Amino acid sequence: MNEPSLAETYEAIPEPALARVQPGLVYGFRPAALLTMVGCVALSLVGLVQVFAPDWNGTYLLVMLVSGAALGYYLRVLARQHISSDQERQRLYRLVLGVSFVAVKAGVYLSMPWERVQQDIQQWFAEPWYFFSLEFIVTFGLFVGAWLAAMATAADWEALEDPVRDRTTASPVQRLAARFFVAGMLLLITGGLTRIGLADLLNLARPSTPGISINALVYFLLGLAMLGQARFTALRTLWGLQKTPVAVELASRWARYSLIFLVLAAALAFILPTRYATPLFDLLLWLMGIGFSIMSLVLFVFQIFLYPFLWLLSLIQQTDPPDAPLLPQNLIPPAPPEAATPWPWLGLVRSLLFWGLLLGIGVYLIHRYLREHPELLRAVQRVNVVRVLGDWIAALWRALRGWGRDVQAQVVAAVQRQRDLRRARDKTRRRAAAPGSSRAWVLRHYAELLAETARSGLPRRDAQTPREYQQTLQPALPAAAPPLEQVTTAFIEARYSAHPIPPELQAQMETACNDVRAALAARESVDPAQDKGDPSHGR
Amino acid sequence: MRRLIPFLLALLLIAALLRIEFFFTILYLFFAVYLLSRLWMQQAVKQLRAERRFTNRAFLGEAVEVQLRIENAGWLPVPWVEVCDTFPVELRAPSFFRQVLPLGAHEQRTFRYTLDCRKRGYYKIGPLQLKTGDLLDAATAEDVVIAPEHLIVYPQVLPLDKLGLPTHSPLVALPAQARIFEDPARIMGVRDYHAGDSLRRIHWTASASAGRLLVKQYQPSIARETLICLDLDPDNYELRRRYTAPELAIVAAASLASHITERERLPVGLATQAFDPLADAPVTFSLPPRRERAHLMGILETLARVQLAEKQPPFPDFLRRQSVARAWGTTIVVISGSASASLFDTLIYLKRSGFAVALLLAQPRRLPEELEGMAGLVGIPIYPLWNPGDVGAIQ
Repeated sequence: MNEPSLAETYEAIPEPALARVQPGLVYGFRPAALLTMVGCVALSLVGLVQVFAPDWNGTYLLVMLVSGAALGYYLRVLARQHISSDQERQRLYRLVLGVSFVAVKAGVYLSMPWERVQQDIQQWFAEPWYFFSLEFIVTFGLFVGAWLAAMATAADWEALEDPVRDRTTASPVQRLAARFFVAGMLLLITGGLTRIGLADLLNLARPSTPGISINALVYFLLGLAMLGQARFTALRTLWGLQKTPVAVELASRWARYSLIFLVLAAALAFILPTRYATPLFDLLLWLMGIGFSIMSLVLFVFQIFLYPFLWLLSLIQQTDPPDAPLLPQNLIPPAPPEAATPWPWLGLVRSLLFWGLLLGIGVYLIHRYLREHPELLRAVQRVNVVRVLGDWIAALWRALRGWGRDVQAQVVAAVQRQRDLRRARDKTRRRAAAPGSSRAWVLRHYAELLAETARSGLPRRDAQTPREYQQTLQPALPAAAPPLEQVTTAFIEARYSAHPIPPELQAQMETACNDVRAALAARESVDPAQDKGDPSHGR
Repeated sequence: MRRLIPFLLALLLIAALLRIEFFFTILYLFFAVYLLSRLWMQQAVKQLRAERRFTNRAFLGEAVEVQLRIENAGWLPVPWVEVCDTFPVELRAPSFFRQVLPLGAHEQRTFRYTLDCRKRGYYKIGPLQLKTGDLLDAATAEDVVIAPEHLIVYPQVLPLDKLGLPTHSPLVALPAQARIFEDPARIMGVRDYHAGDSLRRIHWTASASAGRLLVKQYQPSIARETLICLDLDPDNYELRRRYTAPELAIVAAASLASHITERERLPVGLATQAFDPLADAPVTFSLPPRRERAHLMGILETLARVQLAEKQPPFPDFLRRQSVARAWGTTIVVISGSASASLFDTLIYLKRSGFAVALLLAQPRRLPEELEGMAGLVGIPIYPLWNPGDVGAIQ
């Protein structure tokens, strides 16, 4: 099979330059995503304002913020492309900002009835500062914020594509991520306050708030996609600067893998429990109640053990006997907290799972953060309390691990013992149960002989070995001493050896058994009145 | 995303305080992104395999093709892998090979590049570094390093006449007048068998033809071994020829060793004190004379990697030490950049000790007449290596 040449498979990336970046990305995808994200944050802000002023029309604020972001982004991109002088660009920005100042004021008036606008304008002449109403100042401030954020985002994208001209020290990807996180926090806080209201903020007993926040979901998914794209751009630019050939299919695969990855992460996020039917404090109280019940039970058991000694002591001292231990009142654990589900225990399990998951995430994040910042870890370790706590946790962990190892070793040993026993038993069974073999024949005849001797009043006790039993029989059957020896030896060989039993042994055994039976018959004929049930007779 | 963990912790706090269920979903989303990225990278790094294939020995002027096979042995795709293989600039410029590629599940790619063996040496190829990372920069980029391998480029081997050297005495075994040793490889004739002759000497074919026992008569020789002693002390080479002259000396040594083994089929050895890049230290090489081709390759490998070594014991002392272990009558060929009086004293000492001695000089200047005269008197042939043809040949 002919392999494609490097030239066919790979493209060498030229020197990075803004003009060579795909226009669809610069003018299409990136601003669209940016404006959507700004819109999501603006929606959240408008929602919060409407909590305090339900009649307020916030549409214009939304439009203002999105417009500010669009203006900032495109102005930055176009100015970088067409105006080479920094001073000229700054002058243009100032000019557009001045025009925007008036436009924002006009936008504020658009949301008001015309009569109020007229009154407002008339008051300007009497009181010039009336122009700067609180609403206008806040709106313009937010407009400028959106403008600056969009400009900074455009600048970061430029820096990603042309790092040579970037004069800042921080990585553009890090700056983009930081901006994304800060705006995300703002969105969550404002969105959260909008949903629960300020009054309920400090109410720890309030139930959790269900429902999906679409603007938050869109914001964060778009943001993650943007960060993935930023990462790709940064790497591609780096490879371009190093003149490293890049596989043609890398971009398409990156997009595909990003999509699959985000879908997987989102699916996982939606599967995990978010509803905690039991508030944390209720859950803690319930867990404490269980602990208290266990302690009461232990004390009760202890009291039961002590009771006889106390009673004896009371006899010595001639005092009243102590009261019998009573079952503690709190032995029964408290009822689990009320759950929203029809099965309270299921709700409890979900609560435990939820809080366990949350605790695990928190601990893991702190652990990773400290691992990534060893200087912080060292500083934390210098605090005495933390050090003692850390030592204690480490000792506990060591003890738990040691205990775990012991348990594991014991379990493994027990399993191994059981396995060995089973193997030995199987082996014995296989040996004994081989049908038609000489070994089976010898064992069967020995068993039959034992039954016959038992009927003759010479039973074999359970604890007796074959040799011991032989010595027991010999005084009772002195004439059968040699055949008894043969029978016992044949049985021992058949029972405990691993080699095949020769057929000659079978013949010898048969003869010996017959001799023993003859001796038994002779003994019975000589002493027919002997008590067959007396086992001591044969001894 | 260096600030992802603080953001997640803040998100955790906000979600726990506000108790909005969807915020926990957002928290899970970011935590899943973080955790899955880390797990993905750990798994991807474990499954990355790389292999470098090439012929690790080459002669000067040859091109060696290096084949790199990169494989993802797992089911998880690797979003991007930056492959970077490095090698000395003497073999190729720029001194690295780089590629960036994605690898799907169980996908493998093969790359090829060529190294030009333009200078003798012992070269380190690699390490091959595979760098990978996740899609969102949530996990630290991981490196996989494949250990370096080595490429030996043998020194140039030229016919002796191109170096202006004779292809006979004294660089090979000399017939001697005194019948001290006989060379069983050189049959001079046959004679009648006498009582006491070894049965091994009977020429059975000739005896059968003649109808009587005849024994072989061998050509007498005093030695069949040649030891090439190469001087790589920088003080013995002129400063402005510190590169060319030692290279010429090494080419002469390689050519001589090859000639003696390949053409004359006689044992040849090598002794030198040089810097060894493999050991990263000065090393004394002492390869006793052997005639096998594998031994010749060993000599060429040694000559491929030796470099000038400073602060070594004086070369004449080294010559004396090396001569101790050699058989009487061994031919010692000394290759140096200068002929000092002490070196001559040593050569005369060796000559008087029963060795056949020759001196090859990699210097353009003529020797002082008195030294030349003395050499002629004691019978030490001196061959100049430095002429425009020799230098041109090695360049």
